[in-house]
Amino acid sequence: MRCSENKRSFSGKLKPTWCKGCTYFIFQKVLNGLLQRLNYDPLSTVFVSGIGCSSRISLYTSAFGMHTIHGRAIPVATGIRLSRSDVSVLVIAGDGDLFSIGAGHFVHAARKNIDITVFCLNNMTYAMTKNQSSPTSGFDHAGSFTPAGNQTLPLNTVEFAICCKSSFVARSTTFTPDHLEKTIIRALKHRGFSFVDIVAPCRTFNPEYFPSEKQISIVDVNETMQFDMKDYSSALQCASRCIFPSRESPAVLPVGTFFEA
Amino acid sequence: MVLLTLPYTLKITGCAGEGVICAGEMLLEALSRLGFHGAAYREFPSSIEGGYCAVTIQISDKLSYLPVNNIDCLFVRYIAAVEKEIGHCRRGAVLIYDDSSQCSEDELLALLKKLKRSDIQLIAISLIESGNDPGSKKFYSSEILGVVGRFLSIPLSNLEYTVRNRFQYKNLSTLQRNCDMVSRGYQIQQGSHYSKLPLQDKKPFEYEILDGNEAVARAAVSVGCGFFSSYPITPSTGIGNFLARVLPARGAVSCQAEDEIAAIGAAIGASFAGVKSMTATSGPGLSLMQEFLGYASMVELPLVVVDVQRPGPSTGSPAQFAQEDLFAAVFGSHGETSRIVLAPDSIGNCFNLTIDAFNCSEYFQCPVIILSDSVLGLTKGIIPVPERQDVRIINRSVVSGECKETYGESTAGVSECKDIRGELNGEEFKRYSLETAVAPIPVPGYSSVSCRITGLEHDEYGNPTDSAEMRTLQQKRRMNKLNLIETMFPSLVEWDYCTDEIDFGLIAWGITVAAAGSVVERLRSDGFRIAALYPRLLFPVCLNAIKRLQSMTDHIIVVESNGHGQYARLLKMYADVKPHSILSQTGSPILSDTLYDSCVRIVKGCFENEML
Repeated sequence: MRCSENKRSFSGKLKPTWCKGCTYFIFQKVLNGLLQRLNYDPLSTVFVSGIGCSSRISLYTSAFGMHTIHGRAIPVATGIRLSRSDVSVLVIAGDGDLFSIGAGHFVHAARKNIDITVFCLNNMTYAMTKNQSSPTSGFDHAGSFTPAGNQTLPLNTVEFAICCKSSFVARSTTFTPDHLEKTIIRALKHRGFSFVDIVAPCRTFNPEYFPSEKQISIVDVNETMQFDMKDYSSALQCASRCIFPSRESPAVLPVGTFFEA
Repeated sequence: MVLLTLPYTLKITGCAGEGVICAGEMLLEALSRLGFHGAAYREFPSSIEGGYCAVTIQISDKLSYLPVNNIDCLFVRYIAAVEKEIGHCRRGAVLIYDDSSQCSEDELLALLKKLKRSDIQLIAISLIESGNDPGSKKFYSSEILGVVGRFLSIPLSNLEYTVRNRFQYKNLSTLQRNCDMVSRGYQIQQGSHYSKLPLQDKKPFEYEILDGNEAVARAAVSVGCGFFSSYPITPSTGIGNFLARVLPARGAVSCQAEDEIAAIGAAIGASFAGVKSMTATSGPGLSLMQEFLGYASMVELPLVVVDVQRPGPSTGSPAQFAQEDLFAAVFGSHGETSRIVLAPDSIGNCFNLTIDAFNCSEYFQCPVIILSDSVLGLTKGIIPVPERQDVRIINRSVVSGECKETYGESTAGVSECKDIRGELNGEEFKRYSLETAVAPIPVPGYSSVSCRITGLEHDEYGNPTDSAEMRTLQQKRRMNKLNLIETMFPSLVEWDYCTDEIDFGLIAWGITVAAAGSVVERLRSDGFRIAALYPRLLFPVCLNAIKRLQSMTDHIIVVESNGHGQYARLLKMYADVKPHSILSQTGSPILSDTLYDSCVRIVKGCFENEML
């Protein structure tokens, strides 16, 4: 729901408990700024989250916030959306929340094309419980439950989201706030289930990604790859080649809009 | 012609797919047109065709009588059904059997002799449809209706009207064939055994035929439920079937979720959005919902959860009966939660209690669990349904705002909303104020303030807190806010007593009340002085009522269909009562005759426990 008279701030009064320099501050700043600039009304906007570092964001807004239980942000958001078409519903949750415990819900909200915007703050670890491997952790990631190195390949979230028939799928990263902002605008404007994977590595448990300029090369697939983002199979093929972190070239982070129905 | 006495119980048996249940439901409709009360209890296997299938019709002159009496008349097509049901038949009961199927008179007589039941009166009939044409199976229902209707001397015109009503949307030839079969069944000779039911003066058409699931769903519609989500599970599916047809036409939402966790999650989301919401499930689904139930208690959102109980643990017996989920409903989910557990005790009460459940949940801002069961849920009854304007509705107190027009009809009422903008003076709104039991709820898109809610322990503003003092205060407030429930909703406890001087007290809950009611009458006519207490409010325990019963007698019997004596144990825990338990785990409701014998044994045997 847009608010016509005055632009109201989305900054909440509570101080985040995130670590100093956490990449989530970047996402929060970009999102709050955008919502205000796009005239969203905090009194008609609901942030829904699960449990984890990123999920605390629903308590740090001036909008309505639901900090729910682990993995279940999407069903709650579905209930709000289906019962009220006049409020904006944003799901902000982590990679463990959305793709481990809550993966079953993602499938169905996407399949049903529920009109919500899902942001995955993907830090590739369970940070709040002090570093266990998550579904998006890289191969060989040394989590506290997998001290010898995690022996599973990471889930390619964008490929998965396209397979589930999400109607908008993109990836961005907190390393490039401008690209992040453009991607969020597209996701918010999209009618239907939209998903943005936001690579936001954990400063405490993934220090190898910092400083980013030296470690990671960010590649915009919309500029470098030939594919039709309106075509399901073309988009899926492109997304399937754009896993992050990839075992072969872990320093390459492919971003961009992969699919838009 | 024999004049039958009421209540009269008739059971039609057969194989699934033979139209037995359809015949029973049509008989109930014909009876309602003659002014009778009654109920039709369905038993079916977990399969679509084949397997034992039966419908028990209780004909009564009293409201919402449930089939808990022994059988007066049994209709069978297979000899196996006689072996299965004969133990439930009264002495001198009538047995109508189809001698064209697998029942021969010689075999039957031999069996009855072996079972020492030569008191049974036999009526042989030949159903035309049992012949060689397998495709004609679907017309059994009308033919059986004709046979049973003739036995009870129901006018053929009434039966034909019922058949036309039931099959009105089928094609013409099916409709005509069914009409032919009902009159064919009516013409089958039954010797001299015809009976007659006493005339009723109740005006027909003031009542509706609904099963317990439909009654819950009807009530949800009447009370303004705007959102329903569920996952299919026997025996609760009927609630979703009903609401999926009815809610969308009223601008409300019915949604099939991907699992029970999502079902309750979506209902909680809708409640946060200001809409009255409900979900329905059975045992396994209730287990999956526990974490979200704790969340709803913690964030204090109104929510109604219907658990249509079936025997457990695990998958258990999906199509059978038990009252085993009380502990799960009261104590399920970690930590200590504030919630309300209600149990309807008749089909009619499924309607009224669902209204109460919504009202309690809106008023106290907490989840309310309705413990229905498979028998209540699947039994069709002739019940009164109040007009919408006669239903007492309580809406949650919400924070008001400017844009009332966006706040639709299906959402909570705006009558009790509170405009708190002037009082805030720039301070944050106290969603969980310690000064009141419950504070108004801000609603997105409507209220002038926003709020953030969390399952973390929180302070008055809803912000997470580590303060041990705040945790203690908030937890106390959440627990104590329910203290007034018994006083505020007196209809949640039902009494049946004549005098304060009593020999013993009887407590029953849920469908067990139906059997208990008739047992109390019989015991009183035997000279016992009894007070009966039928709590519909199971948790928090109705301490006022229990204390009153305790002041009258030390001997209290609790009847329930589970093995632990779950309600009796709740009473021991919360009211320091030491009741005697009558328990049953048979998969069917306790029959009144069995309960009577058991009560007598307990009273004469100086009060011990009894497991049936």
